[in-house]
Amino acid sequence: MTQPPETSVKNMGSLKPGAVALVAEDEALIRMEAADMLADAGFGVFEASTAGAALGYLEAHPEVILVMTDIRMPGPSDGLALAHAVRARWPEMGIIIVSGRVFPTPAELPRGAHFIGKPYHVSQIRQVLREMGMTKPHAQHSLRQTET
Amino acid sequence: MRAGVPALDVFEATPNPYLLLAADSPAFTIIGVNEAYLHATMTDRKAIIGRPLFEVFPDDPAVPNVFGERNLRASLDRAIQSRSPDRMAVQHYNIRRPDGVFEERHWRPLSIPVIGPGGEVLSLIHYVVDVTTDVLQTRDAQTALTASEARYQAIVESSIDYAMVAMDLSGTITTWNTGAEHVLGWRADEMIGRPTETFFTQEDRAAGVPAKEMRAALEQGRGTDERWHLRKGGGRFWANGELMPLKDAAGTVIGFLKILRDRTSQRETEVALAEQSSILRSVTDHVSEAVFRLDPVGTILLANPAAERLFGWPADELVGRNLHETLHHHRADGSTFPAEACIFVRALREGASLIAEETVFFRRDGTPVPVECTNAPLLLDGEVIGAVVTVTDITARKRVAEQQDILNHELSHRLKNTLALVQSITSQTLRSAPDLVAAREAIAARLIVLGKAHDILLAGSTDSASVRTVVEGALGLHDVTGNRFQIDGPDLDIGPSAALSLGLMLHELATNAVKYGALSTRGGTVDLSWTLEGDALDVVFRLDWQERGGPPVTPPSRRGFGSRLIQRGFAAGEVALSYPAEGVRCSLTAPLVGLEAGL
Repeated sequence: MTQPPETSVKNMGSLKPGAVALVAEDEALIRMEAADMLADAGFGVFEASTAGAALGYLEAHPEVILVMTDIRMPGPSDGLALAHAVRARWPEMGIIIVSGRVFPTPAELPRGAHFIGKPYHVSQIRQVLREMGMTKPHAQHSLRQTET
Repeated sequence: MRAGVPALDVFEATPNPYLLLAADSPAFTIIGVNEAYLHATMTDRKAIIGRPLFEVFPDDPAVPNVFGERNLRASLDRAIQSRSPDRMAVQHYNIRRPDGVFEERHWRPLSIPVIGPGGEVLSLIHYVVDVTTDVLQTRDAQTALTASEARYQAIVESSIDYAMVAMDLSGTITTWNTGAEHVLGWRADEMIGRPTETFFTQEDRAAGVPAKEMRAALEQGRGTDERWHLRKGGGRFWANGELMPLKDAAGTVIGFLKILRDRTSQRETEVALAEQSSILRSVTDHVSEAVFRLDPVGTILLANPAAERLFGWPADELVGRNLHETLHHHRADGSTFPAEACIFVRALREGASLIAEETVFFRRDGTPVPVECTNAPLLLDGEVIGAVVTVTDITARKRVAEQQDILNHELSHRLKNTLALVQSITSQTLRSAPDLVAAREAIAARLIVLGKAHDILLAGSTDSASVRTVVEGALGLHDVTGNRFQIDGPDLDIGPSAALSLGLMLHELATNAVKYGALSTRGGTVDLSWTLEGDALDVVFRLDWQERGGPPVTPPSRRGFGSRLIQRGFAAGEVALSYPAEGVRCSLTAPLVGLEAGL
C-alpha cells in the first residue's frame, strides 16, 4: 500500500534536471517537512510511510538518486535495513538516515550513508547534500557564505 | 595403831591415793596418808600428818569460782552424817607445789566413813582419782569442737546470699539463717515452727513438691533443682535449691537442710539471652538476604536459608567451605578472582566494615548473581574472631534501573518527536499562510490540538487512546454548541502516533469546515462515523467525514497545509478527499494493525 506519488519539480535549478529523492517516514507531518526541505534543495520528491513502500518506489523509479529514511517505521523492515538493502542494490544511491530514538554507530551504517539525529535543521540537510555533491550551484555559493 | 585403821601395809601398798582423816569436822585432821597420795599431791608425809586437811590443801586463790574446799567439806560431813560413802563429781582442785605454785588438777573424790563397832564414825577415808589428764583432753576436744561450731555458725550466719533452712522430718522449720531472712524476707522468729511449704508456690504445694523433694533427698542423699519460690509478701523468685538430709551422731536422719540461692537475675539474663538468640535466629532464618557467619580465614560457620535459596547450595554443605572460593571465585567479566585481590577477604582479615559493596557472586550451577555485600566484623578484645557477611541479590534492582533507563530514553525520544512535530507544524504553516496573523492563529490552534492529543495519551493507563476521545478532543475547539457534529463509531483504541495524526487531520477538516464549509452557516452539520471492515486477518479501519447543510462547495484553488496533511493520511492508510456541491467528503482507511502499533 503506497501513497500517491507527490512530486515537486519547482526549484530544480541546476542540480541535474530531473533529480528525484525519496523520503521514507511514517509521521505525515515530519514527512511533509522533509519533502519540502528536499524540494527546496532542488529535488523532485516521492514519499513513503514504510520501508516496503519505499523499496516499491525505488524499483519503479530508477531516476531516484537520494533516499532519506527514518529508522523506526511500522512494518517488518526498519529504515536501517532499508538503507542496507538500497546500498546493496544501488551502490551509487545517496543515503541519509535520520532518527530521534536510534543512534547507530558508524559501523552500523551502510558505506557512504549519513546519519542525522532528530529534530534536525535544514542546514544539516544542506551540508550533507553538499558533501554528496547534490547541491544546486547557487546553494553551494550561499552555503560557503554562511560558513565564513 | 588405832582401831579402824587398815593394816598399814595394805594401805601403803595400794596404787590409789588414800588419805585417812579424823572425823573431827571441821578440822578433818590428817591422820594417815599413803605413798600414792603423797606422790599425787607432791607432799611430804611429815609435813602433813597431824595437820587439818584444808590447811594443807587450800583452794587456789588464782582460780575464781572454784569451790573445792567447800564441796569436799560438805562431802565429808555428808559421809559422817549418813555413815555411808559419799561420791563427788569431778572437782577442780589445784595442788600447791612445794615451790608454792598451784598446778591444775581435777579429781574424782570418794569419802568413805570408817564405822566403829558401836556404829560411830571412827575416821574417814578420803580416796581420790586424779582425772586431770582426762579432763584436760576432754576440754581441748571441747574447745576445738566449739571453735569449729562457731566457725560453722559464722559461715551460716554470714552467708546472706544463701538461705539455709533446717527442718525436721515433718518439714517443720527449725533453723532460719540470716541468708534466709535476706533471700526469703521472713524473719527467723516468723518462720521457725512453720512448715517448709510456706515458701513453695501454690502450684508446687498442690503438686506435693516439698514432700517429693524430701523423699528424693532421702533416696539419693541430696537433691538439687531450680524452681520458683515465694518470698514474704507473695513475690516470686527463681531459686537454685539443694536439699540434704541431716543425721545425728548415730547416722539417723533427724531432718533436712535446705540451701536456696536467688537466681532470678541470672535466670532473667539467661531468658533474655535465649530470647535474644531466638530473635537472631528468627531474623537470620527469615530475612531475604543471604547471611554468613565466617571465621577469621573466611570459612563459613553458618549459612541461613536465604543463602541456600540464593546460591543453590544446601546450608550444611556451605558450612566448612571457604566463602570466597565457593561463591566469589570469579569476577563479573569471567576472570578468576584471587582471594588476595578481594576487598572482602581483606576486610575480614583486618576486621574492617564494608557496607553495600556491589559485586558478583556465583551460584552452585555457575550462573552469576549481581549482589550487594556487607561485611560486619566480629571483634573480641580487639582480636578479629570472624565476621557476619550479608549478601543481597540486586538482580531486580538492576532490572528496574535498566527499565528506568529505557523509560528515560523513550521519554527523550517522545519529546524529540514532539519537537520535530512542532517544527514541522510551524514550518509548514508559515510556508502556506497568507500572512503572519493567520500563521500565528493557525500555529496556536494546531499546537493546541497536538497538546490535547498528548493529554489523551497520558490520561490512559496504556499507551493508547480511544478514537472517540481523540475525535472529541480535536473537534471540541470548533463546536461551542455541541450539536454540529453527529459522531458515531465503535469503541476502539489506536496507538499514540495514529492518535496524534488523526487529531491533527480532524482539526484541519474542521478548520476548513468552519471557514468555508458546513460549519460556516447556522444550520450546517458534519456526520463523522468510523467502523471496522474486512475479514479477521485483514481488518481495515474506515472513517467518514460528511458535511451537510453548508453553502455549495467549490474545490479549493490552492492546497494549503490542511489539505496536504489530510492527503497524506496516517499509518500507511489511504485518504479520499472530494468536494461534491452538497458538502465536503473525506474517507480515510488504514489497516488496523498499523493503527494499533505504538509507533
